[in-house]
Amino acid sequence: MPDPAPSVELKGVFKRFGDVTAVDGVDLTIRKGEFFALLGSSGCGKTTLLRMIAGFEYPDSGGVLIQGRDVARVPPNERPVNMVFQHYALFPHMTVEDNVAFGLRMKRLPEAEVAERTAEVLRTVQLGALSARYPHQLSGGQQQRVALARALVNRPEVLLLDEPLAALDEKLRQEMRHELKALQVKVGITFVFVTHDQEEALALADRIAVMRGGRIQQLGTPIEVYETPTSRFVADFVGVSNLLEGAVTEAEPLLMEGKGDARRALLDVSGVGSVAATLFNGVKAGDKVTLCLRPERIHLASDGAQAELDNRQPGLVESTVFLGGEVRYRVRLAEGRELEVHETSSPLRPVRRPGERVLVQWRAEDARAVAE
Amino acid sequence: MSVEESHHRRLGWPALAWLSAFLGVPMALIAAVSLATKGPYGGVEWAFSLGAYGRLFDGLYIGVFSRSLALAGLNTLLCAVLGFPIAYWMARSSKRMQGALVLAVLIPFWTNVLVRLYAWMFILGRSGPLNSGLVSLHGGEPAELLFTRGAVVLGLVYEHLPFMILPLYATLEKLDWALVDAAQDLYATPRQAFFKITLPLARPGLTAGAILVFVWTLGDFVTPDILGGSKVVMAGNLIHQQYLVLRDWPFGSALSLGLMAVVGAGLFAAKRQEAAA
Repeated sequence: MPDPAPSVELKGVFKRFGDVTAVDGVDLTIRKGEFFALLGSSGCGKTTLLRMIAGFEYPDSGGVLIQGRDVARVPPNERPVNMVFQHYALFPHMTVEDNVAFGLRMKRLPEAEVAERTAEVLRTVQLGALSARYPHQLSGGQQQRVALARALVNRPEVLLLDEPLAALDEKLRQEMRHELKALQVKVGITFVFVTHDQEEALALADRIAVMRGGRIQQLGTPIEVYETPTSRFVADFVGVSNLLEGAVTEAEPLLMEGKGDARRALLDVSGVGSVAATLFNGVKAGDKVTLCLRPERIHLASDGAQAELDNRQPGLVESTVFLGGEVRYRVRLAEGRELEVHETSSPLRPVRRPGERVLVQWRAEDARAVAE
Repeated sequence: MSVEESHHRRLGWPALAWLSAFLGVPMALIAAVSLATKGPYGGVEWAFSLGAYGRLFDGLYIGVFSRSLALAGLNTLLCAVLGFPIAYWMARSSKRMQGALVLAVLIPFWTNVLVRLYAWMFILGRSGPLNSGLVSLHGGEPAELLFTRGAVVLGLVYEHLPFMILPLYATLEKLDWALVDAAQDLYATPRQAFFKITLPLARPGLTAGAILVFVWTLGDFVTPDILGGSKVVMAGNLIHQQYLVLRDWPFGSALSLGLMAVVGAGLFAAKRQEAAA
C-alpha cells in the first residue's frame, strides 16, 4: 500500500537571523497522523523550524511542503495548519467561545455551523460550561485547553504546539501529558510539538528529532533515541547517562535481533579498565569512543557476591538518596571514576549505606559506545 | 484601616494640600466671581447675578463653543490617524531604537511652545521658505497660508501629536505580539488582525490620548491666536479675551465653568461607553 502524502516535508531548509544560523540544512518528513517532537535546548533551531511550518518565518532556502504542496512562501493565514502558542496567546478581549470561533469566522463559515463546531470542540476539551468566560478568568490548565480547542476546531492538517506544557505546574503537566496523548489519538491529526524537556518528548511523541545547532542530531522513536543514542550529545541530552571516554580494543559482529549493525566490543575505558560493550554505526577497533551507561542499567551486589553480568567492578558507595520508588547512589570505582546508579526500591533489596563496599555490574548490551 | 494604609494615605497629603490651595481655592473663586456683577471699570462687584450664565446661551457664544468642539474633534481625529502608525512603528522597533524614538517625540518640548509657533509663522508666512519654494516652482503670487483655519489645524496637530503618540505607544509596547501571530494563524489577513486584535487592545491608549488631545485643544488660545490671526476664535480665546481685554471677569468665569461642564459631560459619556464595551 502506498503511503499517504506526508503531512510535513522539509527539504534542505536554511534560515539565518543576521549572523546567527538558526536552521542549518534540515531534511525531515513527518507522517500523517504522527505525534512528532522537535527536542533541543534553547537556540537549537526547533522553534524557528516550527514557525517556518506555521508560516511566521520563511526559509532562506529549501522547501516546506504541507500535504505535498510547497508553502515555503505562503503566509500563515493561507496554510492548513494551526498553532498552540507557548503562553496560549488567547485573545484577552474575547470570551472563550469567541476565541474558539475566531478561525471559523475568519473563514466565513455560516454562523450556525460556527456555533455547532465551537460547542462540539468545547465539549471535547470539557470546557462547555466555561464558554462565556474571559481568558483571565480561567486557570492555566483551562487556558491551555482553550488554546487547543481554538486550533483543533479548524480541523487543521497539522497541529503545531510550542512548548505546550511548559507554562503549567508540575502536577498539571503530568496530567496533561496523558490528556494530550489521548486527544491526539482521538482526533487523529498530525501533532508537531517543540520542547526542551526530554522527558516530555519521550512521553508524548511517536518520533523525536533531537536538534542541536540548527541541525537534526538524531531522529527516531523514543525507544531508539533513548536506547541507542548515536552521539555523545544525544546520550547526554536524553535521559541521564554516565559518560566515560575510552577506545575500542576489539570489535566483532553481534547477532542481535533487529539490531543490524550492532557489534560486541571490548573497550579500554580510562579510570575503569576493560569493558564489554555494544557498538553501533560503524565504529572500528582503535576508534575513540564515549561509553554511555544509563544509571538504571547498573546493578549493585554485595561485596563478595557471585558476579552475574558481563562487566563487574568493585566500588564504594559515596552517597545514597532514597526517593521512595527509587534509590539513587553515587558509587566510586577502584580507579576513582564515579558512577550514578539508580535502583528501583524493593523490600527484597537492601538500601546500601555510604561507605559500603559493593560489586558494580552491568550487561554488555546496556553499555553503548558512540563515536566521540 | 491598617497601619500601612494610613502611612500610604499620609504620603498623599502634600499633593492634596497643594491642590486644595492652588486648584480648589481658585476654582471656588471663579465660581464665586461667575455669580457676581461686572463693575463699571472692569472690577467685580459682589452683587449676586445669574446674568453671566444667561449670556452663555447667546447664539454667538454657542457658535464659538461648537466650532471649538468641532476643531478639537478634528484635531483629535487627525492626531489619532497620524499618531497610530508612528506609535505602532515605535512599539515594534528594537528596544534601543524605542528609547531614541521616545526621545525624538519629546524633543519639541525642550523649546517653549511660543517659540515653536513663531517658527511655524515664519515657515508659513508670505516670504517664508514654503512660499518661496512654491513660487520658484510654479511662479505666481505667494499663497495665503498663514492666518487661515488650515494653519490653525496644522499648528494644533503639530502641538498635540505627542500627547496621542505617547499613551498609544505605552499601550502598544505592552501588547503581546503573539496575539497578532495567533490571529494570522487563525486565517486573519494582516488587515483583519489589525482591526480585530491590535486596535481593540490599543483602545486604552487611544482613549487616554484622545482625552488629552481633546481637552488641551479646547483650552488652547495661543495657537489660534498666533497662526489664525484673529480670524479663528476658539473657546480659549473667548475666555482669554473676557478676562484680559474686556475685563469682564464674571462672564469669563461663567465661560470657563461652561467649558468645564462640556468637557466633564464628554468625559463622563466616554467613560460610560468604555465601561459598557
